[in-house]
Amino acid sequence: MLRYLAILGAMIGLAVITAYFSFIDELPALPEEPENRGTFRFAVVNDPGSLDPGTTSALVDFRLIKCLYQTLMVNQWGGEGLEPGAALDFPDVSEDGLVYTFTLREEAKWSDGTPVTAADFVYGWRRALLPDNASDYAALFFVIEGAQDFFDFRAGLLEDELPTEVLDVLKAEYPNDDPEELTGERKWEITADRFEQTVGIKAVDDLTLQVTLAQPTAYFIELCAFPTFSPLPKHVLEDESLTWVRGGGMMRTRDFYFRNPDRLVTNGPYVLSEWREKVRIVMDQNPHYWAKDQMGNRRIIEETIQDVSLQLLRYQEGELDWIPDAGRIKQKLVELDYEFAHSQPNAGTYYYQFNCRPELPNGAPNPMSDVKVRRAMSMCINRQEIVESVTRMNEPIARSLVPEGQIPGYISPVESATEYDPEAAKALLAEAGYPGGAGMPPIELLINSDGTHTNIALAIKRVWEEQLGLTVSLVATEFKVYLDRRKQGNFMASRAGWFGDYIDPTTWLDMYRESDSNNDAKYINPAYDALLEQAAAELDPEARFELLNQAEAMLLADAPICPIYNYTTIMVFDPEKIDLRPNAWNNLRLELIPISEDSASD
Amino acid sequence: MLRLILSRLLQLPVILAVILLVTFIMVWVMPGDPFTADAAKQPPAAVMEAMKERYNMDKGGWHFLSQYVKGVVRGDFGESISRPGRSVRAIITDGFPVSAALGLAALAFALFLGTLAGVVGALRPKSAWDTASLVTALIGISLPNFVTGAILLAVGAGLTRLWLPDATFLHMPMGGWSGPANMILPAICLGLAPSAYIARLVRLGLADIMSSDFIRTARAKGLSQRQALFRHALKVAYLPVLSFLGPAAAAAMTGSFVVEKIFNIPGIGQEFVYAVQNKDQLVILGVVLVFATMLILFNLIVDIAYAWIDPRIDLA
Repeated sequence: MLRYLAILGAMIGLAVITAYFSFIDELPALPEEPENRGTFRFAVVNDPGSLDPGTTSALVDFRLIKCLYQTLMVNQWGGEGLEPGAALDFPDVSEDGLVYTFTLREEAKWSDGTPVTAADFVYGWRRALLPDNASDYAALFFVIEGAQDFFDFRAGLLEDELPTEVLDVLKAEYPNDDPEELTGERKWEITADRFEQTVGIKAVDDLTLQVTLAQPTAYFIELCAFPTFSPLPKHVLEDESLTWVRGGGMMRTRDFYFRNPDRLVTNGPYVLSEWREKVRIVMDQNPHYWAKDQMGNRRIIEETIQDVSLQLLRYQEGELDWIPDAGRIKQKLVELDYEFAHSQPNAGTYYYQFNCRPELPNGAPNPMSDVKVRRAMSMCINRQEIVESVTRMNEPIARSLVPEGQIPGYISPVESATEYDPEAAKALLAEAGYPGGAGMPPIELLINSDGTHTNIALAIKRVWEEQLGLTVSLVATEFKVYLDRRKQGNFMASRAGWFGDYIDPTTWLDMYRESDSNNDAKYINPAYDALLEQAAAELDPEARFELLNQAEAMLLADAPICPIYNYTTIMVFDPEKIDLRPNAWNNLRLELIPISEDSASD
Repeated sequence: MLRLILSRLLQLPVILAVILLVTFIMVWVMPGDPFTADAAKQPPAAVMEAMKERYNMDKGGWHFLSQYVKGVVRGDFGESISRPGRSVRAIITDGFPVSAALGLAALAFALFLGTLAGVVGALRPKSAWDTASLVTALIGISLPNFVTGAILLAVGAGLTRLWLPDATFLHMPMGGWSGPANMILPAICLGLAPSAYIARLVRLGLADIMSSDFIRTARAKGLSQRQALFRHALKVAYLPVLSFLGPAAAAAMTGSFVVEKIFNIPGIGQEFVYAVQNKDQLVILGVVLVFATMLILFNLIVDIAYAWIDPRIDLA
């Protein structure tokens, strides 16, 4: 028996030892100043994917990146309009609307004490644009002169077999180089030179940044507040131990840098103090931040708590100040009529899209290439019923792709959208040659498996079957598979959703240009593309919105999409205590939220 | 004994290689692409190729596998694809000790509770105690983790605060991993099912052995039933428990997706599920290798313990 006890003892001993060493340490010491400010705590379900401002595109990543880096412009507290951030003032814009000149703040410093210069912006923007880094948002820079050509040139240069366009440039501009013999280093030198010669991003001097656009772009100033346009500390990243030319010729920074609190150098209100995966991220006031006196708190803790119910328990215990996304427990909150739950409509649209290709993946003719069929199918969808009894969140129903009222000055052409009218839908389907659904192949409806998507899809399947006499089969896959199938056009109808990136209708409308990589429905309408081109060249904002309105009206009438509702976020916080100022564009200023030292959260 | 250990350890790489190969094939044919961007914003094809090259995925499966094996031999398990800059080794070294500690604590709890229930049941067969231990065992086996976890959390962390606001020592933490108190509820939750198995194994084993000849002899020599049970019968009845402990320890120490999620424990149990969802091939392979190694090692440890406890058992 003693030997059994010995085994048991060894097990317990081992448990104690491993446990002791695995317990998460105490929080790092709070910054000493200012003593009257406290800690702002909130929780998320998953760790951010990356804190690299140049490559990521996730909303939850951007929330922290905005705390760590300061862009030229920043959103005002509350999300209404912009104010200067790292720039001293709004830029000087040339009369033709093409050249923007920014003057930087002399007092702005990186967290290591080095001044923030125009070269840091050039470095950060170039890095985000370079195809080497596979940035999700590289295309946002294409409004800048020469950026798209530069991107294509560099992407071609990275190919094993150099494309003819690249060979032509090499022959003309770098006649001394043999294109067959280029090393990775030499390719990079040529790339850097090309950037300097052709791309309209220039550091005129330490404090002057000049940007030349390809064509007047009304929303460029909005982009200057977008996290992808953050500066990066050139003096830190150019170190060869961090950034070098890899095999295959790619110029990349070690990703490790962006998760290491000891190395990460930032110019925003905070520095990264700790990142314990699956536990928490701690950010403390940046001692060199030029506006640190305006900050309302000196520390932010983002805890990773996978279970939202557990987040709520922690909130109720006073251990959290904010639950940014409580959507997963919305039913519970609705049933409880919980006083601290707030619903915030977003600048995002939940919609269905139809495959417009003339042929289905199996080669059969696609009935949905006929606008009448698409309209008929859209007209059966009762949006009001979906938000009331399927999602049960009473989201604002969407009749346009661009969320109504979220872009000041833009009027959505909702009159062009299909209205709920099952009788007219039946007639239209008959007119298209499928009376009572006769002759229609079975419809494959693609969604990614998730409670809400499935419920909505089931409701829509039912009306299509009952009203139109169609046969509908649900194809519910994992998210990655769903994205793959959408990209390949391997669907007949699918759910879709899109959040605006910047405050302008084109962030939605550009998706349905013929050439756009997100045009999964393959909606092709030269007139639509022409209207968008025309709008892009229009300098008068009102006339421009009018053109975009016409384009969207055309899109809605052709019905490659059927908007359903606008996304809504459920947040939990106490407005009496936390001055969060949520808004549809998620433009928060966490550093300004006043938290007193003695608040319950500390 | 030494021969046993050596031969088992020599088999280890062979078994791991087979497991790696099978996992790799399944991972490689799995639909979906880890490089499909979340927001459906795809970089150009040349960049996708370059990204794949970075993970050695550009030249087909066998190239990837050979590079991966070379890396593993050097102790380099590659980098997570979905979390750039995060090495698979760091994912394992951060998460595994947490899951291992919790798993061992859960097993210790299971052994204690299971033995107690089993012995009580065997001492008083068909009594109320016996029935109670049987019922508890049945509940322990049938209730899924997410139910017991939620109940434990509601009672331990919720109701105690509500009903006994002053007895702070009873207020269990609501998840996290910052001290011993964080281990109690999840260890109970994780240990309940194995404790039920152990209780049944001990109870049945004892019932069988208590009626065997050597116990009758012991009783005839004047030992009480209790003495006979503790001094002689339990030793024998415990052998099946020991063989159950091997796989149970490996399973408990490699973490539980559900328990770690309910109690917000930064262990390794969730990694596998998320890696599969994200098609993060390198994490899947790394985690499978750890799981497999644990299973093999624990079976070996159990065999050694067997021989140590009962020297007549010859495993070689």
